[in-house]
Amino acid sequence: MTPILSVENLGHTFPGPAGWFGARKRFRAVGEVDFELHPGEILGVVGESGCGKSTLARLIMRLYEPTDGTIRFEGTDITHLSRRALQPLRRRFQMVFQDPYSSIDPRQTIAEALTEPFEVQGVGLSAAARRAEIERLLALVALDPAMAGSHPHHLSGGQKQRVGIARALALGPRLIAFDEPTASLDVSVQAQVVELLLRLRRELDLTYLFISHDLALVDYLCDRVMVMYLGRVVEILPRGAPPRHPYTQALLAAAFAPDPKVRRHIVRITGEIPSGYDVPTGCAFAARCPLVEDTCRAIRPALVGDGHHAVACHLAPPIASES
Amino acid sequence: MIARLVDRLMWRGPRPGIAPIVAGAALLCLVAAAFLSPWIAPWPYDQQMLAEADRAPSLAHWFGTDEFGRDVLSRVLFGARTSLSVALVSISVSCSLGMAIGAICGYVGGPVDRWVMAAIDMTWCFPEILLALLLVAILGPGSTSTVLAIAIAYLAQFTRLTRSQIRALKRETFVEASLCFGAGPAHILLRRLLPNAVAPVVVVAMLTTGDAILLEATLGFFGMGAQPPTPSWGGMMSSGSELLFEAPWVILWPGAAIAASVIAINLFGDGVLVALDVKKRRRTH
Ligand SMILES: Nc1ncnc2c1ncn2[C@@H]1O[C@H](COP(=O)(O)OP(=O)(O)OP(=O)(O)O)[C@@H](O)[C@H]1O
Ligand SMILES: [Mg+2]
Repeated sequence: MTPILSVENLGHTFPGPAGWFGARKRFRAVGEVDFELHPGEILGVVGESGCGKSTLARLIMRLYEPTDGTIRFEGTDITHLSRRALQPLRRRFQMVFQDPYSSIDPRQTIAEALTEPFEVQGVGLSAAARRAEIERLLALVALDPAMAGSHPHHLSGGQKQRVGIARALALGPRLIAFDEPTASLDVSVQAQVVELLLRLRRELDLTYLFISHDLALVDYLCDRVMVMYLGRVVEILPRGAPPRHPYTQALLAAAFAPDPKVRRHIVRITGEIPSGYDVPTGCAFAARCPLVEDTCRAIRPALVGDGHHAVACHLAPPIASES
Repeated sequence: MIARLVDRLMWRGPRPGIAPIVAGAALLCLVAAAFLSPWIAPWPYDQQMLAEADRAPSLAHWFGTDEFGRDVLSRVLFGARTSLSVALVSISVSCSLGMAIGAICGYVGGPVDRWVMAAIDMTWCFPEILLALLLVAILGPGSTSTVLAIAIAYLAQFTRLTRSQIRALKRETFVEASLCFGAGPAHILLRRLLPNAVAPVVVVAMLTTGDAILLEATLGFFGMGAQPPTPSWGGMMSSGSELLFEAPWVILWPGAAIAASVIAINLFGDGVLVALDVKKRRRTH
C-alpha cells in the first residue's frame, strides 16, 4: 500500500532577528523528520510546547517552505511545488487550526467561510449548488443549517471549531492535519469534537495527522504516536506499545502516573531544553536524560526500527526483544 | 459599515452621546451649504461694490462686506466649497495612496518594506505645516499643489497605520486557512486583510480631515492656497487681518467657519470612533 504521506528528512529553520549587516542566525524548529502515513490511519504527534509540532503540520501543508528534506503526497513530491502547481493538490490535504477563535475571518458569515475554498479554487457554484453545499457541510459536522447566515462571534468555541472542520472538508480532502483542535475547548465539548472526528473518518474514509499535547486523548484516538523533542522525532510507537525512549517514558509517566503498570518507569526530567539556535551535536535530550552516556553527547542517534515502532536512542533495547 | 454606524449612533452598542449627532448635523449643513453655494449665496462672490466697502453686518449684507465691497457671507459660502473640497480630495488621495503603499509594504515585508518605509518616514521628520509649505514652494501656489502638498503631508500617517494593521492581520489564523486552500496574494490582501484594516484607517481619515482644513487655511493665509479671485477661508482671513480693527467681521466669519468645521469634524469623528468600537473590536473577536 503506498503511503498517503511520506516525509523524509524534513527540516525547517526560521531566520533569527533581522540585522542590517552580517548573516542572521537561524532557529531550527524542525529537523530530520521521517515518517509515513498510511490511508485510514490516525497518527498522533505529541511533545512539549515549542517542540515544533505546529511547524511540522504547516510544512506538510506547504504553508512554510521546507528548508530540508522531501514531502511526498500520494507519491507526488510536493516539497517545492509552486503555488499554482500545488493549487489542485490542495483539495486533497487540508488543515484544521489550533485557535478556532481566529481561524474564521470575523467579517465573513459562516456561509461565506464555508464557500471560500470553492471560490479560491475557482469552482463556480450556482446559487442552488452553493446552498446545497453549505447545508451538506453543516450537516456533516452536526451544526444547525440556520447558522449559515451568522458571523463567527455569535458562535461558541466548539461551534467555531466545527465550522473550521467543515471548511477543511469542503473540497473533499483525503488527509487532514489537526493542530490541537480541542486544546482551547472545555472538556465536554472536547469529547463531542473527538467523537465527530472519529465519525467523519469512518464516513469519509479520511486519514488524520493529529497534533495534541493531551496524551490520554492521543492514546484514545491514534493508531500510532510520534513523539517529538526539540524539532526531532524521538520515537514513533503503536498505540499501547511500551515506550522505549527515556523521554517518552517520562512523558507517559507524567501523564499516567497513577497507573501502576507504568509507575515503575517513572523517570524525572530535569534541566533546560537546549535552544533551537544552538542545537546540540549529540542527542537533543542528552542534557535532561537520566540515563545519559558519553556517546549520547557526541553522536546523534538515528531513528531506527521497523515500520511500526521506531526509536532514536543509543540506549534503547533492540526492537526485536519487544514481542 | 454605514448601516452599523447609523445603528450604533441611534441606539445600540456603546452610546457616544448627543454631541456627535449634533456635530454630524452641523457637518451635513456645512457640506450642503458648500454644495449649494451658487444658489443660496445672496451675492456673487466676486461682485465688487467699492462704494460699500468695509460695511458692518447689515440686512443687505448679513456678514458685512470686505475691502472691495464684496459680500462676506457669499464669500464664506463659496469659500466652504474651496476649503472642504481641497481638504476632502487631499485626504482621499492621501488615505488611498497610504493604504495601498502600507498594505503592500506590510504584506510583502523584507527589503521592499524597509526601503519604502524609510523614504515615507523621512516625511515624519517635518511638521505637516512645514512640509506642506515646502512642497507648495516647490510646486507653486494654487489649489492643485495645495491638494498634493496636504496629501503628501499626511501620507506617512496613513501608510504607517495601514502597514501596522496589515502586519498584525497577516499573522491571523484565518489568513493561513485561506492560504491552505491555495489563495494567492490578491485574494489574501483584498479579501482578508484590507477589509479588516479599513475601519480604523477611515476613522483616522475623518479626524485628519479637520487638520487638513486647518492646513489648507494656513496655506491660504500665507497666500499659497487657492488663488484670487477664488475665495478660500484662509485667504479671506489673510486680507481680513489687515482690517482687524476697522472691519473685524472680515476676519471673524471665515475664522468662525474654520473653527466650527474643525470642531464638528472632531466631535463627529470621536463619536464614530466610539460607535465603531475600533480599538476594542480587535480584541473581542
Ligand atoms: N514564524 C516563526 N518565526 C520564528 N520562530 C518560530 C516561528 N514559528 C515558530 N517558531 C519557533 O519554532 C519553535 C516551534 O514552534 P511550534 O509552533 O511549531 O511549536 P509547537 O510544538 O506547535 O508548540 P505549541 O504546543 O505551543 O503549539 C518554537 O520555539 C517557536 O518559537
Ligand atoms: Mg502549536
